[in-house]
Amino acid sequence: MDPAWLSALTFLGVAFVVAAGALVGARLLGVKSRVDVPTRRDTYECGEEPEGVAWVRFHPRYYLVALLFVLFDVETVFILPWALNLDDLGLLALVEMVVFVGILLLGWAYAVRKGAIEWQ
Amino acid sequence: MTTTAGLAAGPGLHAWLLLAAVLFCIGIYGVLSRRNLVAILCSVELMANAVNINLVAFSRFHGDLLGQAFALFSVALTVAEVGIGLAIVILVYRARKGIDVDELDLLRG
Amino acid sequence: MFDPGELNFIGPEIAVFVFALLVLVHDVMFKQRNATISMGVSLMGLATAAVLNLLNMQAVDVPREAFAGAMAVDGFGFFLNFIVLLAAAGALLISHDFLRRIDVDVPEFNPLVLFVAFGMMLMGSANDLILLFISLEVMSLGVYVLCGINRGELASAEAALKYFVMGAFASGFLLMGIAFVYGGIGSTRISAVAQWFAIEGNGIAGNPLIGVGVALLLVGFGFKVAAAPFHMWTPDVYQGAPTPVTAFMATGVKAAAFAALSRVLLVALLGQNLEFHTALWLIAAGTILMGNIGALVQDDLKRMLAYSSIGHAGYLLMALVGAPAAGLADNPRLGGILFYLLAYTVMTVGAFAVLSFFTRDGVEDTRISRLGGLADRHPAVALALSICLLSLAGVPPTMGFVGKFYLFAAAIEGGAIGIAVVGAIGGAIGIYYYLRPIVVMYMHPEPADRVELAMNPAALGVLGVATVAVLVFGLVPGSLIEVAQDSLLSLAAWGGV
Repeated sequence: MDPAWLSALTFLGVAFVVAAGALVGARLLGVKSRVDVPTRRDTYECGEEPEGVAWVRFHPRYYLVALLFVLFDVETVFILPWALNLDDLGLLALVEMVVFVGILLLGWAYAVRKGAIEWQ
Repeated sequence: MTTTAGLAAGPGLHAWLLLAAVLFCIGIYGVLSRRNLVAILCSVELMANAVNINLVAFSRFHGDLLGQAFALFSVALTVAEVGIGLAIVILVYRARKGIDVDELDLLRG
Repeated sequence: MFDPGELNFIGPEIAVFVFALLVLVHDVMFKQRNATISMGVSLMGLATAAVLNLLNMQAVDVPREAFAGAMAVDGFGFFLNFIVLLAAAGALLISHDFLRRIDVDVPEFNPLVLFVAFGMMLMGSANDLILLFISLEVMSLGVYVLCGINRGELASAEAALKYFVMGAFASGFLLMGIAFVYGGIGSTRISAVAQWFAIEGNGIAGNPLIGVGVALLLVGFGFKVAAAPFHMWTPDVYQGAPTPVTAFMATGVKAAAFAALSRVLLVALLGQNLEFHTALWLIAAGTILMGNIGALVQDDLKRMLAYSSIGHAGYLLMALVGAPAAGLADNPRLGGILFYLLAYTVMTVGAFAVLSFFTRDGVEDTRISRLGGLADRHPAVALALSICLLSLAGVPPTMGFVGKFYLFAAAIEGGAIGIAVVGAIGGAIGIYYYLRPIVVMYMHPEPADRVELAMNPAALGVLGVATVAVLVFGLVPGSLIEVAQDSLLSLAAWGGV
């Protein structure tokens, strides 16, 4: 078998053994409680009491901020390869990137002007 | 032109194509069968990611960077697309107080 | 290596983009928005682009590549640029008063139209599938937003949503198709695909990757140009979107998507692969019939025009079926495709200019029955609308007739008699449903709850220019046809057909 596959298979096996071992070990060594107290069924038995249910609607404001973040964040995938190769690309590439970032900045200014970043 | 040297250490091209095809089909199925708009958006995203897997796999297969460069563009465009999609979903939600596609039947004939 | 001198070739695109940014900055950053100034600057951008495009057209005699082959600089692209600029100008002028009436005050409207036009223009000259996809997305993303621009109206939001879901779905197919084509031949250049096919022994049979890729590509394009069986979204979206946006979608989006499809088909696929002709034949026949039959039963003029736009896409596909295997020069009538795209743009913008008058209390009402008595109240408008509709039906002496004549001639000369017969049946159906609104205008009484038409100089100007153009180029099409044919023949430089 291909050694690359062999190591992947070994990794899988180890992962399985560790996970299963933890469960089986807990079952064998653990002390079982005899009484069923209500706190045992809580989400966090010794922590903060959860309030409400997890399936609530989030305010669209979160989307707005998240979207702006993702949009500007993704633009870095264009900037990173450019930055790594700037030495070979020369001055013209610098000018191109200035134009690119300039347009991005205009978009950012637009978002600010529209109040998209303010948290009312 | 075509080199498979880079693939020797991993599964072959067909494995990646299969993975991408499965993902793509899950995406198609999701778009067609889901009634929740956000779920439809997720399915569209799945289709786009299937394409990205294909592009990168082909890029390795051909031994050039064209596919990977395209994948970067594809990622950025998909993000913009989903951004607008979410905005439209919110627009529909505000107008309709719900995002179930079956309720959108104003235009027909 | 990149040569800054090549920026000349995207001068028109750059002009539109820069002006879009200017309008955006003016309208949004300084909240002193003046609708007239904004409109003026936007139109100035389009005019600048048109002039630059004309200069390029005269400067470039021989088709050439630019930007390391990503872009094809040829007559085909130049011609499409003009169509796009006309469509954008028409949509902007119609929207000027319309948006105020339906109470939509969105400063982003004009910049969005310009950004979309920017994407469309790039699409027509894309020689690389990557550039094609990016420009298609630039166009589509803008149009999604434009569809939903009437935020208070549920129909508008619904149209935006339907268009978005279908559009994103189609983009997925297109993208997958491009990925497979790249996988199959190791390049995304359209001209490289043509060269690959030209090599003896290369074909779909021996390379399943490119077969799958081309099939997915055709499905994606099918959605974008609203060809059967991928046309179902069109009526809903066209009806729900605000009228100026619908006008822009029916003309600009269709022209750009069709131009890109024609380039891919004519340069890369049709010449070498007879099996595509069969697939195209079926798609064209289905599109013609579905569009025209669907339009028969519509009571809403906007919806009827949506169905008929499907039919018109069918006629264009019909001409493509006649593409010769030997070389484009064998069938110069194919130039009718570009001529018809222009004719369709002009007459459709004219018809939608009239439709934009029909609002009641800020809500659109474009039922055909509303047209009753229009000939008595506004004879000139009724006459102009009749001319545009007759042109859409292909009645002489109009631009639509000339265009349709060339499309049929292209199909017949290419030996595609069968599809021409289907096209003739579609055309006959078309005459019936295009006559219906005219009959209502001239024969039927006014509806009891008549509403004053919201006529305004800008839209009336569009209507007037469109009507005159339809008649003039219908009577003396000579030079325009020649330009269209030369433009289409420039595709021959890229190999393929």
